[in-house]
Amino acid sequence: MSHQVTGLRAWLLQRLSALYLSGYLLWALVYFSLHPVNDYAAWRALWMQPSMAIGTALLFIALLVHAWVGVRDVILDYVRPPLLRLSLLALLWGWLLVLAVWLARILTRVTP
Amino acid sequence: MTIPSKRPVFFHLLQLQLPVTALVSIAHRVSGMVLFLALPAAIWLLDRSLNDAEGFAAAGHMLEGWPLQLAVLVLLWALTHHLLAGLRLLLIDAEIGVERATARRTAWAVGIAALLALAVGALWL
Repeated sequence: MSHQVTGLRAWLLQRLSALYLSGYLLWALVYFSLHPVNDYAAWRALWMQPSMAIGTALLFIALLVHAWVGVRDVILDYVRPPLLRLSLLALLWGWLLVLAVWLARILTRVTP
Repeated sequence: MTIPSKRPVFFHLLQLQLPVTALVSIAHRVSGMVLFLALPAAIWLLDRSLNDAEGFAAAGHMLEGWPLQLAVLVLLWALTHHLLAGLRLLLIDAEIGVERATARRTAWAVGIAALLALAVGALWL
């Protein structure tokens, strides 16, 4: 495992994804206060914009990376037996992969 | 290889007096786990809202009924707390607000702001 994510790299990924997540959230808060979406057509139309598709794809990546580092830290802090620890980390990987596929399918379905 | 430790261990949770910074830190972790556990529900809701007009309407009607309202309020608190406590840590990483007095003040501010968001959400629902 020479490409294990070291403490420093994970720390950096957590911070960078945090910046993107908070920036996106702020944008969404402002955008939806100014342009409330009241019907399905408007909601779908919003997702047809390429900027929305790219920005949200990045959001999903940042979200999964952020969740990965965070839950990994929790597992490393509290779960000591090596086998259980490895199993939980593998489970986390699998779970995030499932979510990633799900999110990718949503995005490819609604974007042009 | 473990050395038998002689350090005192005191884990009486009701008598431990943790500083506010520690409480906000613990709540940061708890809220993060709450948000992680809520991910499938949130993605499912997004999926449904984008599926068809009925799904969009159904997603909008989710807030009727108290069990889901309660869940949304918990998530509102978790998101606000996690976001603000996280921004506080980013500032501390940048060496802003590291002094103990300031760190305590900002911790109070984060904890109270998240509870305020919860209160506003409860009134609004």
